[in-house]
Amino acid sequence: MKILKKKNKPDKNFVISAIITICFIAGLAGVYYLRNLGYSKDVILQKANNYFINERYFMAAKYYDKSYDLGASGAEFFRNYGIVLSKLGNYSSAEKYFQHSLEADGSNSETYYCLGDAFYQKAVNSNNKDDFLQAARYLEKAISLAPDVEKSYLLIGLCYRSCAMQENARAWYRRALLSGNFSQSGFYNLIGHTFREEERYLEAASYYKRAMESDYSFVAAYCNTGDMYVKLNDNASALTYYNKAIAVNPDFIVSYIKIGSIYFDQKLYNEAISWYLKALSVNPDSDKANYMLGLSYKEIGRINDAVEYLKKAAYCGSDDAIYELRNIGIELR
Amino acid sequence: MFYTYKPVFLAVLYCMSALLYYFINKQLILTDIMAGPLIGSAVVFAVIAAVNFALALLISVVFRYCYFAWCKLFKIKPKRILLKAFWGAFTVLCYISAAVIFLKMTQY
Repeated sequence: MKILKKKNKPDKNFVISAIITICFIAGLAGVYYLRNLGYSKDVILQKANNYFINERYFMAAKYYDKSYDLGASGAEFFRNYGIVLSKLGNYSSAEKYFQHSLEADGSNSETYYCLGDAFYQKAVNSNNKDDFLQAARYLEKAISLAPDVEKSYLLIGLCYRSCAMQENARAWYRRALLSGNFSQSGFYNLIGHTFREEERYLEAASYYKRAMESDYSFVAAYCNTGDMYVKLNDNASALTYYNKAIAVNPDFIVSYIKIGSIYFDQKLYNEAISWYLKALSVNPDSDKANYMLGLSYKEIGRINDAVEYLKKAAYCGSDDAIYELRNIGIELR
Repeated sequence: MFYTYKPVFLAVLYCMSALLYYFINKQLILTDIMAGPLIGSAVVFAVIAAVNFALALLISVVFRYCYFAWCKLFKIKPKRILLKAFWGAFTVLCYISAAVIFLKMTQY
């Protein structure tokens, strides 16, 4: 029996395909190399900076990345690139470039602030206490280098408040007050917020009052004081401060709504309705005022009026109004 | 037929997709736009393969009818060419897509 031996011939198709593929990839590599030769680092960087100034962060990131590939460096370059990445939500990469910026210039307070902000934003998304504290550390450094920058104090306070360290936040707000460079009323108001978050309403009220005394036109401080008296079950004092807020700024709708809410809680619906109507005369598209007015009408049995205002509240963006309408049996289309 | 061993071509295409993913990622500097190089490459591969699959199918069907019309006109016995036409169109379209995406993503 003859055994036929077959010679193993190379598959022509496979060989041709492989050659085509190699030539194809080599061609693309050649195009890429030639293109790169034609790119000027300074031109690309200038484009990136233009996009950055015009707040077109997506395009700025693309061109900063290319500039980096072409060898761009420097504290300002890394800081701008980091800011762009922060704006796009890429905080991890932003931190990396801020660190590069610090390596180039370790005494720039703005870079420390940006790094602190990136950690803060990351912490807000992940609710990670360590990131909040890391942010605070960088912000402390920023403040030590530039004690007259208000935003650093504001952000460091937010960092500590976000991880329930209100006392630390107060310490920094007090330091801002002692420096004498910033709005006293604003920082008193913030200290009041820290006490409010700890449910120490009396102390909060005292700081809100200090804010009022520093700036009599600071309408939010009046409302905040009123809120604290509501928490302390002293509606009469709360009403006094809400009325003061209206006297200071009659166009501040929140005051009217809060007065209305006090009457609503006391089941004095007719008084509440009159205050919500006043609120709507200031801003007819307030979802909160429309919603509360709708609820008040519902409580006194005027269902048609209730539905009218609840619908308006829903169209203005109130989810509670949609839920309330469903309870009445009305589905919005 | 171009690339007799289809798995080899698909492996080459996946490698090209990985390279394209690298350049696409440099253009799309956003968090979580594509999570990780493996998944990112797989996404690029899937998009290229899916789009070109559909196009190749369309082209091969059109080509088949034209071929049969040609054979009828010239009284030639037609061969079975649908699969070959499809695979040829698919491979060529994949290469064209990869080239177009690469040239676009490396343009500044």
